[in-house]
Amino acid sequence: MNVVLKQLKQLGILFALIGIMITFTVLSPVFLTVDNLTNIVVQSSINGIIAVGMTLVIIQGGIDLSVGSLVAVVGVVVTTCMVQGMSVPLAIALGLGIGLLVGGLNGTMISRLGLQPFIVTLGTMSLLRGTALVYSHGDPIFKVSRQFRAIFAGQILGLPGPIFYLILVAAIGMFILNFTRFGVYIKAIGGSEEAARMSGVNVSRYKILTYAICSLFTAVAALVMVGRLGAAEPIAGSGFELDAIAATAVGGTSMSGGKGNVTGTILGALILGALRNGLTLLNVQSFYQVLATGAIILIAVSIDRFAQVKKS
Amino acid sequence: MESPYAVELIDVYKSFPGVKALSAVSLAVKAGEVHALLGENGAGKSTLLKILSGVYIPDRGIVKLEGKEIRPASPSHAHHMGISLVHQELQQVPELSVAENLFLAQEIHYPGRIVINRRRSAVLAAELLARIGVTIDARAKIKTLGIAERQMIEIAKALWGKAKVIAFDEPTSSLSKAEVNQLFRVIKELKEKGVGIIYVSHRLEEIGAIADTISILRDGQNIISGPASEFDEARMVKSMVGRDLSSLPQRADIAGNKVAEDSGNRRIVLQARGLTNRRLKDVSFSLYQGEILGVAGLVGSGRTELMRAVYGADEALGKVEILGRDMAKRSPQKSIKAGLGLIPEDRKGQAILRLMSIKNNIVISSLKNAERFGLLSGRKMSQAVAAFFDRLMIRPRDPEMVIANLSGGNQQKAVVARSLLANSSVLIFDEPTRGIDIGAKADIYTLMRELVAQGKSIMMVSSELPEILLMSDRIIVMKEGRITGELSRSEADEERIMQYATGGN
Repeated sequence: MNVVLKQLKQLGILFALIGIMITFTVLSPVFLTVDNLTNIVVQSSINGIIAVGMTLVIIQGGIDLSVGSLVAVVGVVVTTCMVQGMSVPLAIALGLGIGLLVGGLNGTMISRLGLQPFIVTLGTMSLLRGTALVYSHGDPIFKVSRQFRAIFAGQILGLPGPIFYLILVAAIGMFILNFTRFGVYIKAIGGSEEAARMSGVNVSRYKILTYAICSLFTAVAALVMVGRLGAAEPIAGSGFELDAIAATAVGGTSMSGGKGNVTGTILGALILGALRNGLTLLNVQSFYQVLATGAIILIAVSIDRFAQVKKS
Repeated sequence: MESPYAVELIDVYKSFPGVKALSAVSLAVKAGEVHALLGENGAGKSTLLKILSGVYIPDRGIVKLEGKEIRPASPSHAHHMGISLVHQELQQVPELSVAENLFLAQEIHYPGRIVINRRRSAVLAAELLARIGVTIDARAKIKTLGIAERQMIEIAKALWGKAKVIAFDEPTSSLSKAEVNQLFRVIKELKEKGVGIIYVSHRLEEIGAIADTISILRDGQNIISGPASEFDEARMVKSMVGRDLSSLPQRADIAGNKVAEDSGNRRIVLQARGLTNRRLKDVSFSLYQGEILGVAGLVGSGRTELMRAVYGADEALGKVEILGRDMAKRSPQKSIKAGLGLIPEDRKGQAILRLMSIKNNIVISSLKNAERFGLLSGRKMSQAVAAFFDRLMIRPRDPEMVIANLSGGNQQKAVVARSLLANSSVLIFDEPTRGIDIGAKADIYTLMRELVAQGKSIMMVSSELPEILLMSDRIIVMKEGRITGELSRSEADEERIMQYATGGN
């Protein structure tokens, strides 16, 4: 019965997405076309990829505010290195390595020093943004090689690169959460950290691992972004942390930890993406888009809360 | 017309999704009587109290206070009408002071009702605390107090205001004997003032000592109600569980373990030497294979802290050996690997993973063994867990059910199953039967005996001396962070234990 309820809850988010899509289909003839729908998924992919990692962190009882700045650091460092002649595979490895390092650092400070995730990642958020600005002297970097762009923005297995990486990352996220010991530990730590510790879970190790994975996924998102734009900017990614948290929340993951799922988060990212896309098609001024995004987040979370209260 | 009843519940129904918590339950409590409400966990006692105190609204039925129908809509609403509930779970704000907690939402102000009158709050709080005979600084923060002290504060809180009805939900589960006596004195005082008392407890000997009337619930229905003089313990138990459970095992029935008493070639399975930290002072002891070692002492004497230090949940200087293995840097994880399991005292906070299924709660310590090719195998997990539902009689038999929905006794069994599945051969039970019903209690005792018969070894911390005397092959007594005495099963009695627990040196 539990499983059925869970499914129903996800269907609720799905219905919200369908509702938004029907509305825009009625209002704009262009909305429901293959090109536009593909576009929505591509536009949602970077947020979606980051949000998968954010979901793991939030289920585990934490938060990561540093993801947006990390996108910028990975972007400018990888791009600069390639411009200076580093091979593409090595540059990709470097980008992913930076992700793991930053995540490991966040996780270590949070678990070993017992600092609060909000504060630690608020600190690294500024630190990383500063690093990106200093490293690039504030300038954007162009001339990303065609080879690199093909890997991240070209067609892969018949899919646009960003969509491919979104599916890949989401699959990894779901896999971790549902089929591994690590996934159970993430939920256990988020639900009752002390009980998890008393049950013999190595809490600090798995906390560090969770943040590392979140940052690794963020690095993937950064590479996809550089591939799509063909450039990197030190101011890129600002606000991405909030979008990722929004997608997670809209997707039904509990902000207090212990409960959540990746499918919901992906749907959440698509809802936000579809909303922005539709409003743009309708020529709604971008200021109003910001307003609408806020409203959607609050509505989605209220509906979720309402469903929870009814259930209990 | 004046009603003889302080409070009446008439024909009350309450359902939750999938569960009929109460059907056609009635309860009438006279002014100036102590009305004991009995029943196993899940029988509906807490639901009834919550309806009375405005936490739940009944589906059907009437609540009357002094003969007039009332509809308590919230705890503060009920409190204003004169109904107070002393919760089983402590509901206090740790960062606030005793006085602030006592008057939470009913603050004492200076005229103008804006600025809180701290001085007067403190004085009133001190008076309230003095009334129940405890000496706690009203300005101390709640978090600096022990569980027993916090329980007394919960009781003091119920006395504030002009209560007509006070319901006590298991008030004594963490109190020492002296504190219980103090509480009984307060209850008698309240009774004389005409307050109607509802008293819920699993300790039947208390019921006999204090109740005027007894009502028993089973499966959400009234079973029986009558003057306390008509009930003996056997009848209470029988009415509660619905079968003739010859009460709990008696001490004489348990011969003590032969292996454990044969002191010649006993194997030491757990040894601690010189454990020292903030709460422990140079504690050493040995646990022998096949024995139950009782750890007695007053609340705050360092029993739980000793167990946590051995288990590696708290840091401590000193050495620990588990099954001959020297535990240099201790952690729960390493202890479990070495074969030691701990069933914590604080079930809600430290034992159960409240959002997870029963199944996950049981396998959490042994997930490595539930893997196939590095992935979790659902089938392996289910297989591993299934046997425990039978062996420990965990109910309901639904491994996917969220553990928070289980009764305390069944949660406790699941936590025990966790350690057994992890192959722990040395088990620490910290207050194994706190807040669980009598049926589950008997099950746990039987299980502990079975385990030692199989060659496992147990340390058991308990505040209930009868429990210590009933179960232990050997007893160590703690006081102020030290072991002050050791007693064999034949030497031990309440008096000797209390001497070590309280005596000077």
